[in-house]
Amino acid sequence: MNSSKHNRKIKLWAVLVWLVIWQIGSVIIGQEILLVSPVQVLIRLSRLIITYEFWHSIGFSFARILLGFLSGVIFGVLLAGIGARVKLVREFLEPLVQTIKSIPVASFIILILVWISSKNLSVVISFLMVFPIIFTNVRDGILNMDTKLLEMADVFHLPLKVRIRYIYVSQVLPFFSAGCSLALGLCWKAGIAAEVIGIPKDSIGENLYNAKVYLNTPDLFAWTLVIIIISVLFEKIFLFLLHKGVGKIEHMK
Amino acid sequence: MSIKVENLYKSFGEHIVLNGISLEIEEGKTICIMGPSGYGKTTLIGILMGIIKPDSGSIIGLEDKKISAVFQEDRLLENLSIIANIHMVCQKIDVMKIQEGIKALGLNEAINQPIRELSGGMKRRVAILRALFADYDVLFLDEAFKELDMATYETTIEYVRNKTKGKTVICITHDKDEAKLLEADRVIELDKI
Repeated sequence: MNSSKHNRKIKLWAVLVWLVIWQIGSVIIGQEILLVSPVQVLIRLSRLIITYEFWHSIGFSFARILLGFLSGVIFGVLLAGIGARVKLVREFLEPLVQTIKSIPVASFIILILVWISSKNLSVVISFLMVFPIIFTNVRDGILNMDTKLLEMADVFHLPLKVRIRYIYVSQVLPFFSAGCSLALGLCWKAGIAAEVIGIPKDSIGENLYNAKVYLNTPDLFAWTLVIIIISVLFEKIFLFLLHKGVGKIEHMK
Repeated sequence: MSIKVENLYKSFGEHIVLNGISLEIEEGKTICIMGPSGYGKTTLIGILMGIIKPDSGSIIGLEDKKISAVFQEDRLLENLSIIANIHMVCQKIDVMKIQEGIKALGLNEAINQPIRELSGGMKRRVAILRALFADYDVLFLDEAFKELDMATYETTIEYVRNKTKGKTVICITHDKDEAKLLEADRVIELDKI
């Protein structure tokens, strides 16, 4: 596990080399519309970040994707908890979860657009991306719990809240955490894709759409960079707070 | 009220582990159950603890009793500290009292370490402390003192003996000397009943 983590680590030198390759490539091609240079992207970004519209678009998209993500997490955890205990619920939900997982996100986006306004489209799409992942991971986490610890809890007649705090949380956390990490990346990608199709006013998706329509490649790259930064930052902050919160719960007296 | 076990049968597939065991365990006494491996000692106390279902037979006298146990495996939460592991089963007990127990069993230096960093013998002593701090009428000890080194073996048994006075203790052991140190009121040899 350590070795695979080590292999996945991004080295600064490698990033710099790729940036140089990108810069050389854009100079050779010589057409900004086909491949904008990294320097131009940074210049465009520095102009964007001082505008009100830039932050307004980020706020609009972030709030909706976050809402979709959190509702997916809450519903996923609750239904996984019930599903892990009640076989009937588990069997009932399985076709729904598998269907959501299998349907292409573009089909969902078009279908949801028929039902609701484009303004809140990314909330629903993010939810649909997050819910099945969290549900499956948490359910598997509960079903794969160490039975010997559960027997110990039975022998000592530990109340449900003590079991949740000491046993369930520590046993299910790795599954939940892995699910959140995967879902966070997906909900950002799918949420922005939904905005590009639905074009809600003042969203990141609308900016990407406009960049496409006006062949404004520097804007396209600048907004893409913004999406990557927010997505990575959000994932890091969320997982940091999650682990800190769990640590506090486990060590609470 | 004593615990009465009558005609207990248990098999795992073709293998019969308990073949009509009957015995009586008096309240407040320390009973040691001995016997060769494979004679169903752990299965018997698993049934008494309610974590294994017997094929047939009855157990009377345990219905309203609170139980505690040191399992054959430690069954501790590896990420948590000694105090957290003990506190989990006895939420109302003052932490100072738990600290006294930790000190008495020589675990003071490891008090803030997570269980995963402790040695096998230290984990065993934590499992014993957890069982003793739980609120119980009947205590089950399944090879509770294995993995303890010479320096801690006798002091731990002495500590258990002092803390369990007046309680019903059912202890599985392979060692007759252990039964003596525990001052067992009765030794049941499972292969001879």
